[in-house]
Amino acid sequence: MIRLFLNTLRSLKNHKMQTFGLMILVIVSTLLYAMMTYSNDVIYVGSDTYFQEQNQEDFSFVPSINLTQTQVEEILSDYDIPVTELIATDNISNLFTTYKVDMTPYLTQQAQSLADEHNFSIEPRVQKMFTDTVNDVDYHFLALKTNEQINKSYVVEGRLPEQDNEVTMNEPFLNANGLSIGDEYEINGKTYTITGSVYDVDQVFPIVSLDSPLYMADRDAILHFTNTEFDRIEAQAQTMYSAVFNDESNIQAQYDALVADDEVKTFEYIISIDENPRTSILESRAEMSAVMSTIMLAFLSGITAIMVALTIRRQINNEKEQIGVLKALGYRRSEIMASYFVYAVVIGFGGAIIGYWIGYGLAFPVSDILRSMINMPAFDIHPLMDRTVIGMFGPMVIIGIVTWFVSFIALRHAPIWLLSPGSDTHVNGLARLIDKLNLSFKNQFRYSLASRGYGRLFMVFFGAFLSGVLINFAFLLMTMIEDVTSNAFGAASYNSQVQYTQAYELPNERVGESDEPITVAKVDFDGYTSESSFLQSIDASQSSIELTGLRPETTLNRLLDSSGRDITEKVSEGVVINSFVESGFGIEVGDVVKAVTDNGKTIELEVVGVTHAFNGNYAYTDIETVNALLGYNSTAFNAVQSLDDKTNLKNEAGVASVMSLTDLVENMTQLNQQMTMMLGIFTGFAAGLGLVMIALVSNFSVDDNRKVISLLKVMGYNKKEVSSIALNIYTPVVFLAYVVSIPAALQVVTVVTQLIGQEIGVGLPVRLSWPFVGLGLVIVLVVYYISIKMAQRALNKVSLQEALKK
Amino acid sequence: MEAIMTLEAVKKVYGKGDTLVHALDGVDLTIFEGEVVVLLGPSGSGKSTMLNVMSGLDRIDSGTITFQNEITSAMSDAQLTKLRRDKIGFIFQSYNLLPNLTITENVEVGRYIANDKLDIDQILKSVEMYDHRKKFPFQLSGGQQQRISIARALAKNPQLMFCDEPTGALDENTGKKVLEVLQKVNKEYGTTLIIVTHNPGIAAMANRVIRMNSGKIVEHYENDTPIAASEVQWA
Repeated sequence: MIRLFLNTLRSLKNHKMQTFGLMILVIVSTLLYAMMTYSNDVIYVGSDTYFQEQNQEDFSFVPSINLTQTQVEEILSDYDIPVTELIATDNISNLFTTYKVDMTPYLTQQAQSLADEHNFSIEPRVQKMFTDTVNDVDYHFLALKTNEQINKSYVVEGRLPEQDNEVTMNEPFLNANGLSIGDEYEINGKTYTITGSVYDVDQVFPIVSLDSPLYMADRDAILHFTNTEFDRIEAQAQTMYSAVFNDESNIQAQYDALVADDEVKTFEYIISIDENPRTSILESRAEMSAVMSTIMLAFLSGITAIMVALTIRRQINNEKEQIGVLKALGYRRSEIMASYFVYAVVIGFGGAIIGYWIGYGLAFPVSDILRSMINMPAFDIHPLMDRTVIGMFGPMVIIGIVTWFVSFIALRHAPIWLLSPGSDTHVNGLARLIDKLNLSFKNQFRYSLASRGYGRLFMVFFGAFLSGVLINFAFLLMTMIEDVTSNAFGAASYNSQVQYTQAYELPNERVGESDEPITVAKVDFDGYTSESSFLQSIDASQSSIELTGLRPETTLNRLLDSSGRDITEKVSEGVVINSFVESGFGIEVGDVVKAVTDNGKTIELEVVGVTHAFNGNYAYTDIETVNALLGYNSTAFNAVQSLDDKTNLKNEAGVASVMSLTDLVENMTQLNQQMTMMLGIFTGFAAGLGLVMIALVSNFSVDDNRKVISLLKVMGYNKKEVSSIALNIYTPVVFLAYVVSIPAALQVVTVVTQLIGQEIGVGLPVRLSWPFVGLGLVIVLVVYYISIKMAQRALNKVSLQEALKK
Repeated sequence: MEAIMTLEAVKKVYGKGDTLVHALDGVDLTIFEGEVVVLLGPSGSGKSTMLNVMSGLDRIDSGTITFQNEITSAMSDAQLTKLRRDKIGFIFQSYNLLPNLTITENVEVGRYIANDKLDIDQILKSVEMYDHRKKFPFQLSGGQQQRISIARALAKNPQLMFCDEPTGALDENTGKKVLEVLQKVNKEYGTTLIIVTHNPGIAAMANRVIRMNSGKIVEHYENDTPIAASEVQWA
């Protein structure tokens, strides 16, 4: 028996490249499995404990302003607000914002009253957002007042500030900027000493700047100062209330009860931690990552098993007579079969050990990259028994099963059949078909060689197809990201948009030469709901639509449809929605929507067009229509779009917000670059996978055609001609596989984006980019030709005497 | 007659130490154009090695081999490839036909690389296989397959054809038929034939007979009256 094992081992040794290629596949599969699962663990395994120990909120809220007569009089008096303005305004919040009224005491009083009534504890979460520009680079800062009870800060290293010239920063910002504890850092002209590296449980996927809501670890920092220093920072303080239920049992039921009877609008804003997309994304990412890594392991091991099956089948064919002798001597089929399990042990187990531990080692640096994107601390992990068993033995088991199956079938013949000399007693159908085609002799010859092994043909097809699908998958996603980011704001050409706390009449000093007035209203489209939206997933705002009133002749915010046609003037005829609203709310052109404002004013509008933009939930109509809806005069406006950078107006009285389109575009471009880089790596992986598979099959092809190759060499065919005939025989198969992979990838991406779309409430544009399709073909063909070059070595080794063997 | 190939003091050694084998031990030989030369000898006598080094499939350790005044033993691999491509044909005991190609296509494999291409139909008629040209090899008998192998070798109109045990796998009738075709090729195309065989009866159809043993030529004689292949005494 031991001799049989040695024979198979020698076979592996004699076919080093094939053995190496098969092991590479196993190594990659287990490496990815271990890397993905453990890097996942670094982030998620301790997250429950982390959230619990830092006392993460059950929900957060802002109570509605519900002032008593006395409190209103007190505010008017304290802030010198004329009663006439109180009478004129339709939005008391805006009025108070204009006069920078500190509502905190009143809100806290109301929040506390709610907490007492519903048996939960609260703590104000006070934050300030500001931007500091250094060397023309905007750094965004989110300063948090340090909490004592709920959402407590997690100090990774160092300590919280004790002096007014001290600051802590979140770890990703420190790492991305090469900063350490003890370093000095200048913020708004003041130098601080960094005393700690800190995480906050309510700042997963943080939004550090509303101008640039996508989190960038190198530009966005979360800071803690002393309370006195925090108060000194010149930025608008925003307060919401973090809450935990005092009764820890059945929190969801308590929360449901709390929001169920909110008819009286107790809450201006409320969201539970489970409803918070930032948290749910974290959980779904963990689940998806675990599922993906296991699928990847099974998938790649399956491919390896198919390749091993081909190899074993070939070995059994080559050793047909030897097996016949063994059987004639009395060896049982099971005894002969057992020797082939060397493949499972050497390739499956050997490769898995290497891949698993490399993957485990890589999990830590990979998790650092992931953590920097979601702002989560690292947790200690250790190899887990179940995972180690799956990772290290899974490939061996899969390959073992395939080995058993293939050898069981192949070894079924009687000794007399095995001992009889083989002869080519038939020509397969494909060869006959090729013979009927009117091909040149060279092509006829090479394709007839290719047709000799259906298994090889299938694997080349599968390898090229798989590479094609993965490459096109990456390219389709790149195209989608590019489309979304480059079309995020459609044809808008303004630099910034200033939103005022109240309406003004034209002419007005706020509208300069490079400005255009607009009127913006937050509305719901009655009857249309979106579970969530893209904007929600990044800022957790309510699912409402920003109805923007434009002048049809606007030059700063032209609306183009998906074919590039200018449809701006249609705002006079009804409402133009953007692509997000179209897909997220399921609204179509021709629908009549009823826009409802916060205070119940309504208007019915027909949807007259869809502008190809992905900037959130936006709809556009004539400015006079929005003015009428809000009860303004026809010449009113409450916002301005400008060619100038107006971010300096942020803290001015009467300014509710300033949105910098330039910042947002830059933000999205950065994200685009990151995603493109990751997809580029993915493309490389796909190409590598195809390379290994096709190189293996090319190698098999040389092995199976040794006699033909030798014959050609003996006859005087030179190396190039032999290679062209014996190796370069799968080009049409590779080409066909790639062509078929395009619709397959398109289908996969469509399904994936539909699933994502359902999750985040938007329809993402999926389209083929022909330059990318061409590039994919080039990559697959290059992979194919590299594979051929790799097999060329084996071809050169085929001796001339091979043809002379009797 | 002019010499087409000359071997001078050719030596070829395999193995080392105790396993050292003198496959060719100082062989001198001249082959003339248009001859049919039969190379006889028992297994291990060195006749296959002789065929390999003469045809440029293997290299010698010492001595000189000349083909039409060019020293082939000093040629590079690429030069040897070109020599085989342009001037040498091979016939194998196991035919080595390509199973997925038809008869015509198999012959085309030989013709494809030739400078001096012969007409395939004409060749197939010469080897009496024209009627089978659309068949695949598995549809033919061993003798028929060997005739196709001859046609393939002939398709590039070689000056020298090496036949390695061409009838080794055939019975008397089909073997003689193959020999008849070879004789016909020699006469019609003037191709020099070097036939390596175990069968001493074939020697009677040769112009010259060389018998080898232990890497040396032990007998070498000319046959002034070669007989027809059909008259060969089969052994």
